[in-house]
Amino acid sequence: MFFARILKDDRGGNIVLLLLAGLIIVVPTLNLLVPETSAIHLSSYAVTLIGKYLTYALLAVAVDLVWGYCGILSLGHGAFFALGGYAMGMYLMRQIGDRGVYGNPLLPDFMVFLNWKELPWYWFGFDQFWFSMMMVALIPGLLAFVFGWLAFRSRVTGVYLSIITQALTYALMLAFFRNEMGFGGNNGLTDFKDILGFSLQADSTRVVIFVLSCVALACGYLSCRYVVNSKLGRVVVALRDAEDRTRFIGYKVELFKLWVFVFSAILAGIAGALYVPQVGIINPGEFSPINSIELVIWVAIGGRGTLYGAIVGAFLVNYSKTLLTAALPEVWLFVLGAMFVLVTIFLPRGLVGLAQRRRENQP
Amino acid sequence: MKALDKTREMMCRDRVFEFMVPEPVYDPALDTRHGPVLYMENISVSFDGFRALNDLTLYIDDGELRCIIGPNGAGKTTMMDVITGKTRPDSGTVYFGQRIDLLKYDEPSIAQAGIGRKFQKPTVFQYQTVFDNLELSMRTDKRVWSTLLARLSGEQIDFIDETLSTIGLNEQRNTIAGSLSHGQKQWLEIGMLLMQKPRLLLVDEPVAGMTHQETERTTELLLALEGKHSVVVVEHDMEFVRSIARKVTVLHEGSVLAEGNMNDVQNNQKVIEVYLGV
Repeated sequence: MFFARILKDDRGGNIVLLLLAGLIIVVPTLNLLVPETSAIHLSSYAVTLIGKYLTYALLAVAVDLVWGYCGILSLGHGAFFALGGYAMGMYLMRQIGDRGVYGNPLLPDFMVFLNWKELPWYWFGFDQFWFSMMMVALIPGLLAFVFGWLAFRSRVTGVYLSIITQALTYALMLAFFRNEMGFGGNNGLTDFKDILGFSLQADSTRVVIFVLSCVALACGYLSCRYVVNSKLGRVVVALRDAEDRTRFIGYKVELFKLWVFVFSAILAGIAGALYVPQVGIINPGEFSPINSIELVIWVAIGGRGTLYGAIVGAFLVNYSKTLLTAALPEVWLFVLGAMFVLVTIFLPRGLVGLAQRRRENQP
Repeated sequence: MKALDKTREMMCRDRVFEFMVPEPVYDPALDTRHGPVLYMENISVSFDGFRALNDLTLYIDDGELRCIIGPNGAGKTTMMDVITGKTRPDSGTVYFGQRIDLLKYDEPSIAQAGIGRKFQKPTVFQYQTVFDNLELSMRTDKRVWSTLLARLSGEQIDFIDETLSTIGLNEQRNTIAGSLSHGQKQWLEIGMLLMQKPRLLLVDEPVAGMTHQETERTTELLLALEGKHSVVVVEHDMEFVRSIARKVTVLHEGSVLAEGNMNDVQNNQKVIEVYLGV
């Protein structure tokens, strides 16, 4: 009933969710039940690859919420993704225990290597799964809260805000590159062994994480759709189009922006946390501004302000990236740039907008 | 000490216990017993040395329809900015009713207290329907979480429909606001102000760029509001001001030059000088 109300008049969303349900059934079946010799067997590599796309798609949905609906072009959403990823990575590091190269039961390898004697205070608690999962949402949320509080209250908008978000992620990247920070420096966190006692190398664990990614994407989509359909969603669109008007009819605009920004950052953090066990590494490269810009491009190509467009964009761009970087690695950035330019000029509403227009033109 | 006093109070058996006495019904809405709904006293604002408002003193009565005219740069818009909290004056006081000190509040709080403002350029939410525009403006709890969970009640829908007929946009109920004509946008914006159930409406140049018929309808609309709301209209169009024919205030160089009915003002020597440069 609840879902039916959310998804009413949301054709794109229905299709996306159906496809996700299909993935949940088909991928585990083809991976676990079909014998490896069969032609339709899906390799574990493919499972984690699609799983990675799913987390990207969730990230893209989060960006579309702030950009497409709230009008905040955040060029630093990669930072929230990476922070969620680091929280998960810290948990996975602590799970290694004494199986690291140096065999230290308490300290991760890189700390032993740096000659550290004890665990920094901010690593405490990360041996607990529940604590780490709380941090996955809390740390990006808190950063977004503090950042947003300062930025929105000072009424920083438009391109200035974009630049500041970019500076934010860049500053974090530089900070995380430093060994003294205690997050593994430029190598980041890697060499994970298991999660909740299940080996990360096992196919079954991978499939479970894959399914969780599907579920997270579906829940993320539904919650964003709920927000967008609510009155809050309409207020947010109103402030995107006429911020002063919204303020003068009595809405505290900065609090609405802040709410959406924090909510989106939490989604991004969750996406990051699901990303890390699938790719097996998190390093400061994830903070690099280029990542954040790229993910804005996914949303633009898919079609912003639709939510499902972001999912389409994330999948399409990343799939072409996977293909192209394997075949012609030098060409990829040109293709990405060209896609962005062409879509901006010819398809201001993205690929999804193209499909919509085609349907509207049919009698 | 306080606890002791309280105990003593409890022991006074000839009185009703203090906590049993109902809280006095303290009307948080504004107090207009003395007539004016808005008091602006000795307001000065300067930007980089330019005095936009210079010791301006102005009172608006409850239920009054007041026109404010003045040449460009007379400080009309700055005055509205001060009332609605966009600009803080360098000196002076602004009171809404007897009690509400507007200088302490920000724009959303002032709007919620009951002051609605229409911008010079019609500003509506382009991508949303007329109905949604009105719904968003409605006087209700405008905090973030309650907005997230808000549902329209039947009463609220009735109120929206009522406003739709007041501004004459019944047929455009589900039209996207961006596709309305210029005049319709102006009316919609006035409707959005009415949805806030304001005590005071500030209307900046409501008939700029309107056709003759549209101007007439706007005049009717504003006249119909008189009495129910206090309305302050800032306008350049003398024809329009004359057709409203109420008390007129002339601003010049940031202070009041003349006040009175249209005829007095037009025959005022100082006003003629300022307007015609004689």
